[in-house]
Parts: sequence; structure tokens; C-alpha cells
Amino acid sequence: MDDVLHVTLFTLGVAVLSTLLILPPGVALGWLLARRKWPGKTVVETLVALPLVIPPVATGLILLKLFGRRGPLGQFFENVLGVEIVFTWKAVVVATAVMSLPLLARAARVAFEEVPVRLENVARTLGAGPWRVFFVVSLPLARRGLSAGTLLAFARALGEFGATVMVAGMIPGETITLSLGIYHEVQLGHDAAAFVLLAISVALAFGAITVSEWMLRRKTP
Amino acid sequence: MEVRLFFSIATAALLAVGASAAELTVFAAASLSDALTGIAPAYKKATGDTLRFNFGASGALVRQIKEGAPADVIVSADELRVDQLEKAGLLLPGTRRTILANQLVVIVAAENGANVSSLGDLAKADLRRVAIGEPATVPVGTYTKEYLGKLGLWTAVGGKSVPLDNVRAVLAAVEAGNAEAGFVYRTDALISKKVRIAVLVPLAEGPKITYPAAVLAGTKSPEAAKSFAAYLSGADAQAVFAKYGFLQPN
Amino acid sequence: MTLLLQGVRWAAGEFELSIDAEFGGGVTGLFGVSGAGKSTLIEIVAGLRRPDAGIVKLGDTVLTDLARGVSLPPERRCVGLVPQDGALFPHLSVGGNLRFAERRTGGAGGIFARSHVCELLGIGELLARAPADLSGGERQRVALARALVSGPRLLLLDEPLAALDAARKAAVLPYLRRIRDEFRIPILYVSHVAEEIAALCDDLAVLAGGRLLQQGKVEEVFRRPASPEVAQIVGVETVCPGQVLDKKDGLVTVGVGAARLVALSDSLPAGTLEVLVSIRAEDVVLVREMEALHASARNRWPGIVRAVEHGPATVRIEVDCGFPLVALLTRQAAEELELVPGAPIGALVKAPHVHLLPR
Repeated sequence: MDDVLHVTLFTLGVAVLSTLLILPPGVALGWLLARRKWPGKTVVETLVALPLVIPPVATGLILLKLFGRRGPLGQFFENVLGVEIVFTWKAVVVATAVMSLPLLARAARVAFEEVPVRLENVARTLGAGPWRVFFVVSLPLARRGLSAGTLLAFARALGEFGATVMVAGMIPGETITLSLGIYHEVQLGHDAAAFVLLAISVALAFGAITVSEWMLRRKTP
Repeated sequence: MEVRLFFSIATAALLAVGASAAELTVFAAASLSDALTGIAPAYKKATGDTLRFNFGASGALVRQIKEGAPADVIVSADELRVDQLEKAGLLLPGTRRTILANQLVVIVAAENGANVSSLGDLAKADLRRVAIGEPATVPVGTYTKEYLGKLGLWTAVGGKSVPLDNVRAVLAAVEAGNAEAGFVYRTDALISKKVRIAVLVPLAEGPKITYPAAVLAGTKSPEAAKSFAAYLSGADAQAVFAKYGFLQPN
Repeated sequence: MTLLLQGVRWAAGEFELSIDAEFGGGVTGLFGVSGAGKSTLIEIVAGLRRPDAGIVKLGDTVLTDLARGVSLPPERRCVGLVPQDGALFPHLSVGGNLRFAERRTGGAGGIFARSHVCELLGIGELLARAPADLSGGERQRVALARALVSGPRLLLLDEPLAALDAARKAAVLPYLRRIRDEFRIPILYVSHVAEEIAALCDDLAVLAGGRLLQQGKVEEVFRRPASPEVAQIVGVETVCPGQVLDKKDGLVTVGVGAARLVALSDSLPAGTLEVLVSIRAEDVVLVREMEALHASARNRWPGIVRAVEHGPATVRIEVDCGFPLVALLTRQAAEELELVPGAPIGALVKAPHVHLLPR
């Protein structure tokens, strides 16, 4: 059985890395969906919602086809960047990122929708360009919703399984997260070990959700 | 009057046939999926019994049976798993027999496959990933680890191995190019055009891969199950198995 | 400096805005009911909304010229906007809000310097406070200060007093006057309240259904509405400038031309000399023989009928009493008095019905 500490730290590390990776695109997507209209916006909204709705293994299969050695993205990463994705820890990061991005993007959208457009408009007339308005007005005012959304995405990253197992496999010491570890131990018949990992998973997720709820409940002045 | 009598007799006859036709649940190793699926229609025609299969890694199947899954017959890819069932008293005594044998091979992709001609080549640095069955639960993986260990290659190759759920998953990984090489049975390599056999593990040196079949103690149709287990050793079934590349168990 | 709108068009659904106008220096009131297109027009001038066609020019600078592909973004237009509720940034202090706006001018001096603006609007002591801790009137003043501190070349005030109650309105109005007097920039003052327009603006533009119905000096528009539609929008009343001549016993005497008007002095701040007089046409009583009249009304003006306009149920009479006075009568009353242009007639108005607004 894998070292419990190693698996826990690996899971946390992957979740942190994947959350950091999805922050810029997630926040940007949320802002675009909240503020802009464009032809094909519905398509984007659907694509963003897809990983939330289709079975995680289905998303995993799509990722496997894309990032596999013969897939378009897999080829790009290997031939152009010299980086292998599938069946390595990088695949774990990719899978968790793809699965938690929709949560962040949707939370960000709601957070930005609650920032009055009027304030952004006035800011523009006072001489601030769109970027300055975003960083000095929109972002600070959306702070609470964004933080809660980020934490939710992080909690999701902690517990990811279906997509991860498809695209990263269960390679001891390399790609075993807490959830993969639980499944692995059950397969091997090591129920006690599985329950230890289960308890840690629940504790971590519980902590993340609690903080997220608490942040949401603090009312804006 | 005669018409009515005729229909009654016809109905009774049909019912009688229906009553004796059994439905058997067969848990079988993944490497047998094509062969057994091929046998099923002929078996039904001959005996009227329907076969329902659950294919998977033998380790997983045995675990399911231990947890109470309803199976009539088990065909495993190694003796070890069936030993476990026997020790737990889950087999119908006297029904166990070895019906097939197989050979371990190393496969690579058919097109632009890696350059592997001996097992030692697997240890080379430029070969990055080798797909194998999960050694703890999948027989082909157990055989692989055992054999590589015997050759002193497990440390080198094991470190770059990708353990997968069953032998067909190993096949798929090599087909897709996600692993440069993989360990499967010769019968699995033969059904796929996308892979070719790079190394044949000689039968004399390699692991003894045999397939035991047995009837489970919890079966609801012992007679039909025993008939099926016997059929598997029979000439008709063995001809089908031979077509797929399976070997005689000796 | 003039604000020029040429062929500015914007349409959505059933509504269509179509404006050709020039707004000179000073304060121009943009008057109309809700839905008339006032906010849309303001947004187009500020650069927050793209018109479908047209040119917007401020002085020599072209802000929008769609035919030539010119459309300056709001941050480059130097147009200050003060929306209805001030729109202060809640996460910044008052000082922070001002600092945000100063970035454009780099804290440049002159009349737009922070110290000057704060003094003018009396917000020096509020700098450390959070917007949520301000009263409605204070919030508006800070919003005005913030717009000024950004060094605008044009000020757009979108119903800045609408969210305030009467007392606060009266308190903020003097600050608006100060702004008008201190800064030499054109100001567009959007409102649907005639008194505010009258108290603050030099010119008046009446907007309805996306179109400019009339534009001119405030008194002109009120006195001579170009159409019944305008008349209905601005309300029918007499509006003219006058001088305070005397204040005694709670009454104030105002001279308008050669005529003398008596009004109540209670709402007039001390020391006011220039006033705007407004009398609702419904409050004017016309009298055939005035000399022998013993009546309570303090105002009696002999005059001559200048114009008679028949409406569906009422008649609008313009009388020259030494100043133009508008009266609204029922048809029956007008017939009884046999009112025709040129006929002599007297007007009676009670002192409380003569409204005075300091200028």
C-alpha cells in the first residue's frame, strides 16, 4: 500500500496546482459570460457545463483521446514541448483541472453578475481603461464569490476520480491520489487501508466546503 | 376437438422444453471473451441453455464471487484464484478441471512499433512505458511480474510499468500508443491487427499459464452448469479455442 | 465649447432615438419623462453606448464618427458622468474614490484640483469615510466631486437629485450652482422635474419619444412651448426672471419688467436678488372689471390678451401684464369672458401661488 502521507500530499499538491492553473481562464470565462454577448455564446456555455453533467469517465475518455500519444494534443505536447501527459502526474493535473474549471467559471460568472455594471461604466468615464476597471473595480467587488468558487473547485479537484483513472491510470507512487487509492485498495482487498484514505478524503473535502460556505455567508457591507 | 388437443399437446411440449432450458452465468477471464462469445450460440442450439458472460480480470471476478455475486461457472486465467475459491469452500467439489493453456508474449504497435526483440530491450532507457496487468489482481500481471523477477528484470521494467485493470486494457494501451510495449497472452495479440508480437516467452522457460474451470457451490442449476463445464473440455469447444490460439493444458 | 450631435441615431425594438442638436456652454437641461431617451443620449455622449449612426463632437474633438470608424472609448473622452445614485465605489473610501478619478489628470491643479473641488462641495471632512456611511446628499456631493476631479471637458448629470428627498435636494442645489458658476465647462443636466431645470439651467432641451421637440432658453421654452406635446411635458406655466425689490412682513416684492409681483418670502434665502418667477397657469384668475374689486389676492395686474389657444377641454390664454402671463381657463369661462386678442383683461394671483427660485 502506498504511503498514506505521500498519497495525501500528492493529492493536495495536484489539487493546488490544478486550481492555480484554472484561475486565470476560469475568472476570465466567468467575466465574459457575465458581461458579453456574442454569437455562439450558448455553445460556450454548454461546453463549460459539460464536464459537470456528463459522466466523469466520459470526460476522461475524451481527454484520453485528446492527450493520448496519438491524439492531437498528445502529439503537440510530445513533439513540440517534449512532454508526456497520459499515465503521468501531469495527466492527473489535466483531469482535475478540466473537471473543476466549470465550477469556478460558473461561480465567477455569478460573482461578476452581482457587480453593478453602472459602477464599471462610471469608472470608464473617470478615465480608467477596461483592464484598470477590471482589476480595481470588478475584481475586488467580486472577491467573495470568486474565493468561494475557487475553494469549491479545489474541493472538487481533491475528490476527482472518473476522469483521472481514465487518463492517468493507477500507477503506484506516480498517479495515485486519495480517491484512486481508495479504489485501488478495495480492488486489492485491503479494506482497512481504503477506509483510512476515505477518512482523509472526507476530512479534507469537509474542510474545504466549510470554509467556502462560510465565505459565502459573510454578507457584503 | 382434435385441433384443441393438438394445441394443448404442443403447448405442453414447449413448456417442457422451456422449463428445462437453463440460463447460466459464466464468470470468465477477459482473455476468453472472443472465444467464449463464439461458443455461446452453438451451445444454445445444442442444449437450449443460454450463456450469460461476465468477463474481467480473474482477480476481480473472484472478489465479486466472494462478495456474493451469483455465478454458476468460473473460468479463471490462473490456478491461484480458483485455489482461493476452493479454500473458501465456494466450489462444487469434483467439478474443477484445467481446460486450456496460453503463452505470455510481449507486443508492440504494428505500425512504427518500438524496437524490441528480446526482454532485455525492455529495460533500455528510450523505452518509456510498458503496460502490464495489475500484478496483485490480474493473472497476466502476476505472471509478468513473476517471470521478469525470475530474469532479474523486474526492478528495471517494473519502474516504468503502467498497471491496468485487465489484459484487454493492456492490449488497448499498446494499440493506442500510450505504452510502447505490453505483456499479454498470445491469444490476445492474435485478435488485434494493430499490434504485433515482439517477443514470445518460450513455454519451457515462461510461466505455466493454465485456465481452470469450475462450478460454483452456490449455483442454482448444478446439472446444467456441470454440463457446460464438461462441454468446455469437449472436442467442439476445444476446436474453437484452438482457432483463437489457445493451447492444450499440458 | 460646444457639444455637437449630428445625425445621431439609435434604435431598439419600437424605440428610436434621432438627435440633431448643439449644446453650447453653460447648463442645458435635458427634460423629458422616463422612456424619452434621456439616459440613452447621455450614454451615447459618454461613450458607453454605440449609436447606430451619427457624429458626436465636443469642441474640436470628434468623439464618435461612425462613418469614419471613430469611436473614442469612454476613458479617452474626458466626459464626467454623475448617475442617479452617485455610483460611488463601495470598496474604496471617499478619498479612494477621488484618487481613482485623479489618475487621468495626474492630480493636475487648476480648478479641478482636489483641494479646490473638496472645498467647493464641502466634503473635506468626509475623505476617510466609506460610501456606505454617507447620507444621500453627501453621496451625491462626493459623486460630483469625483467627476470634477477627473478634469472633464463636459459634465453629464443624470438626474443627480432624483434619489434625494426635498430637504436634501434643497441642500445640494446650491452646490450645483457653485459648480455651474465656477467651472467653464458645458453641463448637461437631465431631469424630469421642472423646478430643478428652472433653478439651474440656462437652456432647455425637451426630449420625447427619442426626438428633440424644442430647444431654447429656459424661459422661452416654458413660455412658448412649440407644440401641445411640449406644453404637456413641461407643464403650462409662466416662467420669467425678476429682481427682488423689497422684503417686508413675510412678503417679498419682485419686479418683472415694469410689473410688481408679491410673493411669500419664507422659502427665499436671505440676500437673494436675482430670482426666477414661476406661476402655474391654473392658478391665474382672469377678471373683467378689476378696479372695483375687493379681493384677498395680493397680485392684480391689468393687461391685454395677446393669444387664445383652444384645447379639447381648456383654453390657454396669453396675457401681457408688463410681462407675459399664461392662464388656463375652462372653455365655458373663456366664452363667458369673451376673450379675444387685443381685449383688456385683469389677472389675479394669490401671493402663495407666485413661486420664486433663486438664480
